[in-house]
Amino acid sequence: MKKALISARLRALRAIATGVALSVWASDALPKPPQQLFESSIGGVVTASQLPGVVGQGYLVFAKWCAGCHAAAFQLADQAATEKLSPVSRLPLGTNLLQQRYKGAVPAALEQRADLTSAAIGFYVRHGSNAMPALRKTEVSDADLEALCAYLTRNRRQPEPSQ
Amino acid sequence: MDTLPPRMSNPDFAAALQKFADVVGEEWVFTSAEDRALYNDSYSPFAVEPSLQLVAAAAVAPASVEQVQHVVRVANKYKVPLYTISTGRNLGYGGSSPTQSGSVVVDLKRMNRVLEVNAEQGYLVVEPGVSFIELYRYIEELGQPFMVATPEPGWGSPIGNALDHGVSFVMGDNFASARGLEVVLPSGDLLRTGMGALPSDRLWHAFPYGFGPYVNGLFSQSNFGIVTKMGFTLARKSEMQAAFSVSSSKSDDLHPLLATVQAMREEGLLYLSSAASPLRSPMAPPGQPGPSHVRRARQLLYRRDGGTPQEWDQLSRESGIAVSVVSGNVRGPSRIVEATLEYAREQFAKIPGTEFHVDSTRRFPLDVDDILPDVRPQYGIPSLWPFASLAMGDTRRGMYFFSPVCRATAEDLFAIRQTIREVVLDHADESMRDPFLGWILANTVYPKAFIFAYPFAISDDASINRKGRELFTRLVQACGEKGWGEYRSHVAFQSEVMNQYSFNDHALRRFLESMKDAIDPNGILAPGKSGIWPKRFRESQP
Repeated sequence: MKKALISARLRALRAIATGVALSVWASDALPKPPQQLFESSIGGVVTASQLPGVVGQGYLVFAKWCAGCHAAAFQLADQAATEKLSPVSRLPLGTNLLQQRYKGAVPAALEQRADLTSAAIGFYVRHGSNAMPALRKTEVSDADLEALCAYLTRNRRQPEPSQ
Repeated sequence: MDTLPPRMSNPDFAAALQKFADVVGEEWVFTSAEDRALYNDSYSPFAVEPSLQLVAAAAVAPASVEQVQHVVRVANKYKVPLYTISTGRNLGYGGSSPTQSGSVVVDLKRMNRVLEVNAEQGYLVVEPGVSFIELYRYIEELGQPFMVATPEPGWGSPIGNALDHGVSFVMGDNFASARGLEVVLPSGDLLRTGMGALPSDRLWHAFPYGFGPYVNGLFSQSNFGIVTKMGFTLARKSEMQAAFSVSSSKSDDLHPLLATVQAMREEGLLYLSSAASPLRSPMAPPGQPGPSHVRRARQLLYRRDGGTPQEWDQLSRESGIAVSVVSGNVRGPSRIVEATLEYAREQFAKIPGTEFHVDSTRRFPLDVDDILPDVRPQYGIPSLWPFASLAMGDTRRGMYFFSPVCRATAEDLFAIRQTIREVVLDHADESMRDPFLGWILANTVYPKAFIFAYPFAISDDASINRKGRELFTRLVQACGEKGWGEYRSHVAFQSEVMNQYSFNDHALRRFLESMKDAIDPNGILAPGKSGIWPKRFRESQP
């Protein structure tokens, strides 16, 4: 019960943070979507963020390139069914490995972190880590990377250390 | 320049790079060490052996067919070897790395347009840089009723995937769904295949052959051209998609189970099928022995005979875990899917003691939120979530695959497993054996054959990686001698894989090399791809 409450709160927080409904579109029975759609590496599509400017663009970069491995734990509408899921269905690779590494000291899902720095994000995007390959500039441009950094550092309370 | 293309001088290479920049713009020619490193194979078998690493001397990213033609002409002038990638995500088979170290990678990711989705004729035409994930968004935004034939995972290119004989849950054999191709030839000339060669492209993606030899296949797993456009047959979303499996506690039941599922496949009732042995795939968390049936299964798998059928039957009865399983996939109008499932149930009921399960039935339109992300590709929804399964093993440096093919019969399946077991017991350290002795899933994407992907995990220890490569070579040879060739290979091992295809003193490779020399006299396109070396590099090959 407590677990369910916590995850409901996390979901709500995440929705507030991104400013968008995270649901993906079911396809052919629905009327044509009213908005432009964007890629999701979880599987499905997302709509534009209501976050302003470059931070909102960064959300779309994250959804397309990062979410498939770094999203928060997957939730079914039915909480009891969610708890029975295997770790592979519940946690994408990056989130699973970061959970093992940090053991709760920081959130395993990158979008919930408040301590990320642009330098660290840039390093991992261009070098990869573990099974994560480096992303090329033809995939994630330097401008995309800048937007991604703006998005993933939006929760910071302290300014980033100067490089 | 710290890395030069083979047999090139520094000034010539600098001049060629300047010409590339004139074609695509300075910002799309990558020459710094930092930028070139982005083209290293992220899952390199030589990750900790820098001297063996395959590297790009530079990368160039054209945005149009015309730019590709210019790049190829410049490469001819200066004899620069090129290596083309579409999205560069062929992980486990080389990723974005060239076959010949020091090649200039032609990165087509910027050619990322979906050129046509023809709803009436059920086909689409794409450029090479489009990924499955991008294609899905495009089709959804148009509201078209088609599935995306994505593999796991979805950042690959439909063109790159099909050209490397990749597979999907939706179409199975993705290259078989290819329609017309547009190809930049090694001369820089532009070719359209099939009906695309006519003055009008009316039939380009409607009729497969055109007139004369069917040449599409020459551009798959080859170095005869750079494919810049390709049409694909689309799978329409059906009313219902279902999967069933049939399990047994008898090892020998695999024979009738497979014969039955393959007969249904031949009748056109199933679009995919597979065979598995959960009991022979003992899984335990790393470093832990696991439950007793896992220990007992490993003991049998480690034995030279792999355990007798009677021993497996007994372990299956005692553990309650099936030793023989086949599965089938059905889609179509719901009445037809339901009738097919009923028919399957009747057919398998003729094999006493087997259990029939309907594993999933889903109706379209799908509620994506309700589908687990790791299985979304099975419904034509590209995702990266399938990487999640790598958390079960040591994946610090990725893996590459040993990918043999066998017949889709129980007899051949047992036989290839036994050959692999003998090679592994004779030549592999104990710490390396598990993935090869257990029964990984055998997929019948192709109606008459199973394909495998045995993973070689890449370690931080160069000596372990060397042993892994030695084992890979032994497996390729032992299987090749018995007629089990690989259907696909990491760029570093393509020559040794091609060496197995040796009928009549390598007549196939000699034919391909004759063609290579005729159409690419300077040997600029992907030297060594699929073991096809142009003349100027051939003498230096083993």
